[in-house]
Amino acid sequence: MNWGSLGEVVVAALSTGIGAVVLFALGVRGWSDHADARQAGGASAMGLGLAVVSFALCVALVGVGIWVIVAK
Amino acid sequence: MDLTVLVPLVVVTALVFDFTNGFHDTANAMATSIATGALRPKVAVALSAVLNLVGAFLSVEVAKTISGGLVDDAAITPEVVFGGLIGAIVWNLLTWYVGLPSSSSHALFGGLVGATWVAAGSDAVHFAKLVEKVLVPAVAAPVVAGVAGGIATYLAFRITRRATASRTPRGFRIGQIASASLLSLAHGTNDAQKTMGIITLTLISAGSLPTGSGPPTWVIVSAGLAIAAGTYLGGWRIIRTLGRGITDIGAPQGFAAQTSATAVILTSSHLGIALSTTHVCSGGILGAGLGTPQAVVRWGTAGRMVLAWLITLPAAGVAGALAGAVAESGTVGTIAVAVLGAVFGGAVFLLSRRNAVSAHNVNDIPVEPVTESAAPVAGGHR
Repeated sequence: MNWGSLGEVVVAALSTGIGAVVLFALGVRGWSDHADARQAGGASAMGLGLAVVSFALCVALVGVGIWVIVAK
Repeated sequence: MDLTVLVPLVVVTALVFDFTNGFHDTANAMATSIATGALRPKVAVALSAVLNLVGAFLSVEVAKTISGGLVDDAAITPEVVFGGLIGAIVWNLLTWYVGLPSSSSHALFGGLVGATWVAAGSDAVHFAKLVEKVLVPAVAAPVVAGVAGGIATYLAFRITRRATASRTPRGFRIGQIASASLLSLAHGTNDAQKTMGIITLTLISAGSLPTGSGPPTWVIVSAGLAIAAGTYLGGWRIIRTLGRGITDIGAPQGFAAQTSATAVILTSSHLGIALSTTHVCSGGILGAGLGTPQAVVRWGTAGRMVLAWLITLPAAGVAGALAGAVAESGTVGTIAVAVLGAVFGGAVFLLSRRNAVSAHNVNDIPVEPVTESAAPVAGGHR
């Protein structure tokens, strides 16, 4: 049993698993803040920026996921 | 037995296994999306079926050994493959009937190990590989996914706790559709190719294909269609257990469980250690329940699920050994196993009609009552 490889997989899997969810949650939070500000007649540049960057990174992660599947 | 009869029988049995693999594993990708309402049940299984079919065509990197090195491939005959497949199908049908998610891959490995053991003795079984490729990942997968799902859920709640409650679930439901789709695609690529590998290697061993051949087009198409048809059938019993039976799933938990599981599966697969999709997804859902403030986790259901994981390999092994032993006895034995297998499948199907679970009642409350910390999920993010 190669415990080193297993440990590597565990660390990488935990990081990507938690990281992807955190990234999307930040996007939801940013979008919600932006929508609230718009409803109140203003704008939340920070919320919008956070949403755009987070969702863009999530789309990139989906792209990486598809690449992992296809490149097997 | 005459190979002109045995080989077609093995091919058909492999496709039946592929079909059961499809409906057994629909829940892995779609249970949480159905439970949270991100997708309507019929739409979810249709989407998953299409993506499983597409996945089957994405790669022709089929398994190079039938058993993945768990047994001596020189000892594997078409009768052994047949016995192993019957063992795996029997276990898949039993666990489906009682609504327990268990690994189809482990069932297949168990069936093959049992049938090989009977045919060629215990020396033909590579126990060290069994520990490395099945037992250790079987323990690691749900733990890793559970920890990832739990921490991810907790953080998702923390990050969005001040967000407007009506907007948050919608956002997470959209995310769920993306991660469920990705998981269905990966499932089609992995599991349909397993069946393609079994059929191709059987055809090579029978001399129907030259050594080193890839799967013929009809094998790729039939394996893809079999897993897609099984997926579309839905496996509603297991979907209910995963979506409603383990914990109460709202959109944030569903998204966290689904996405962390997808990331864990793709990352581990990319790094060369394939973890069971079933174990990862179930572990992720359990973790998401534990990571939720005032969570409800139905430990009775979770315990039965873990028990099913523990006994999958030996149970499928015993069924595979019995089927393999009878099949090895000759033509009559092989046909008898095929007939008994068909009767068993029919009986399980008829029994399941007595308390049918379908798209219409898949989200009904599970049978097991909640007995502990039964407070509703906090935060209003349902």
